Amino acid sequence: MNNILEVTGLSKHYDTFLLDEVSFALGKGYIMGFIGPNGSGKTTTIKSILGITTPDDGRIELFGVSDDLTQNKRIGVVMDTPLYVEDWSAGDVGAALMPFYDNWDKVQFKTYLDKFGIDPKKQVKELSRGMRVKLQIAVALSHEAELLILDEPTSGLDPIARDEICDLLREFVIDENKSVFFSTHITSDLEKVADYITFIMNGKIIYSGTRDEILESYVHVAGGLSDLSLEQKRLIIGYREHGTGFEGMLDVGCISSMPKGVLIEEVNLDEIIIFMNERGKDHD
Amino acid sequence: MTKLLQFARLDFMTIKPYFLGKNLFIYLAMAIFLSIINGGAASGLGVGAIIAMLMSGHTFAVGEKCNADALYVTLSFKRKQVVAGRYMFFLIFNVVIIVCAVIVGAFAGIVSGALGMEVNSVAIEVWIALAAVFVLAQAIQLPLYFKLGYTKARFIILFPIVLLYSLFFVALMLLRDAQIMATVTGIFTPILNSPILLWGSVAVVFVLLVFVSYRAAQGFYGKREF
Repeated sequence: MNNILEVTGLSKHYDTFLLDEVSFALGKGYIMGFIGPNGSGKTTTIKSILGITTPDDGRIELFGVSDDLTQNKRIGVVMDTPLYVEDWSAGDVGAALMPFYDNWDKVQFKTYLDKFGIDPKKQVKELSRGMRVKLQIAVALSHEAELLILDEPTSGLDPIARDEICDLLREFVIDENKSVFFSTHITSDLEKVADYITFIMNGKIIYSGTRDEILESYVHVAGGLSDLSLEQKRLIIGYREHGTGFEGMLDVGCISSMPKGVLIEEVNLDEIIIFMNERGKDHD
Repeated sequence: MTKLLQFARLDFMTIKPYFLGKNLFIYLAMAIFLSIINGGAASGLGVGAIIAMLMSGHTFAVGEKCNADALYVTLSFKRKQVVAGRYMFFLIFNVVIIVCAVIVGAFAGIVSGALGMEVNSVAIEVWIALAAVFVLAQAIQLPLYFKLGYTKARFIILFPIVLLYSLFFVALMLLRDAQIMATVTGIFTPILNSPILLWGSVAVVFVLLVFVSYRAAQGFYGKREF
């Protein structure tokens, strides 16, 4: 069993949204970034993995086992807003959660609070966003979680705090039996730490594979308005025009179809999301 | 069982930050004061009942604020265990409240006697009736909180209690009719005359009530999306 998390054909139907046959797998020792625009199904997928939401269809395997809520004890959960009582102190958080984990290390928890500069007497509501994320990571590390699932942990954080959290994730996967599944729309963080990217849009998986592969699959293309024929325009993903020219994204396989003189550059994850989103709108 | 006790402990941890010394002192002082001026212990239990009813909403209110339902899942609690654990918590909580009320009542009785006031000893039936009122209120409240969550439920939480009171008054009005009274007396006299039958009936009614409340809560919570 090399996959720590395997999602197959996950579907969930809401009145205004459909999570449609979501499938991907995360191996041991890797960090997977889960990206997509707001409302694309990231949180619904995470809630389904954790068992918070019941999917209509599909299979979720955690540590090689499906439909077993007890596996959640092996997961460290970091949400954008912690699931802890706001009036608990950081020390209370440890005291409240300790009985639920067989391998809870009290000393380790205190060590992490010290390392992260969290006063054990400070209430959750008094902590900054960054500190709240670190508190959740301290909890996860104190019960020796094997999989970290993070839902938008870095949104609203300053670059220094984001960098610190990325460092923590990198340290976490030094043990090759541990993995991280990390949902975010701040893709620059993923470019630093993610080995794999899963890209979801409108409830469907657009891509799931290595970070390098997705970045090497597309290029950014720009040029003058008169450079392209109608046929060439159709090849461009998220084609848009502005005062002086056009821009969009192109599958690398189509580069040879472009005329000389158009500017071709590398894309980043942000641009991939934006252009894919534009294409989604065009198709609508 | 361990899981349920763990959950009950987590529930206590949830409301612990709000058990401030000054709050407890106010409740205690109120219970003692009311018990002394009434010359008896029943008022102590009355205050206890109010605390118990307030607290039954508090676990849900705090939990809703921090999305505790999701926390329970991450801690590997099944939904049935959450419901069973919360009922377990209230069972323990109610026992603690009753024990505290008995102590306050006894203390109030001694103080009333020392002040030369008339001390009304409270019959066990009165204690049971008061305890029954708050168990009944909780049995109605808990499934509603599990179904709707705190914010939505608090607007309708009093409706079933008002309905019960209304039914009680309708029953009283009906009992003014001599024929109905005679029929009811005919049914209840044998029960009232036999302590075993009486307490047995009371026990059966309450076990049944709590069981129905518990099953309803499980049904409601099992279907909820959070």
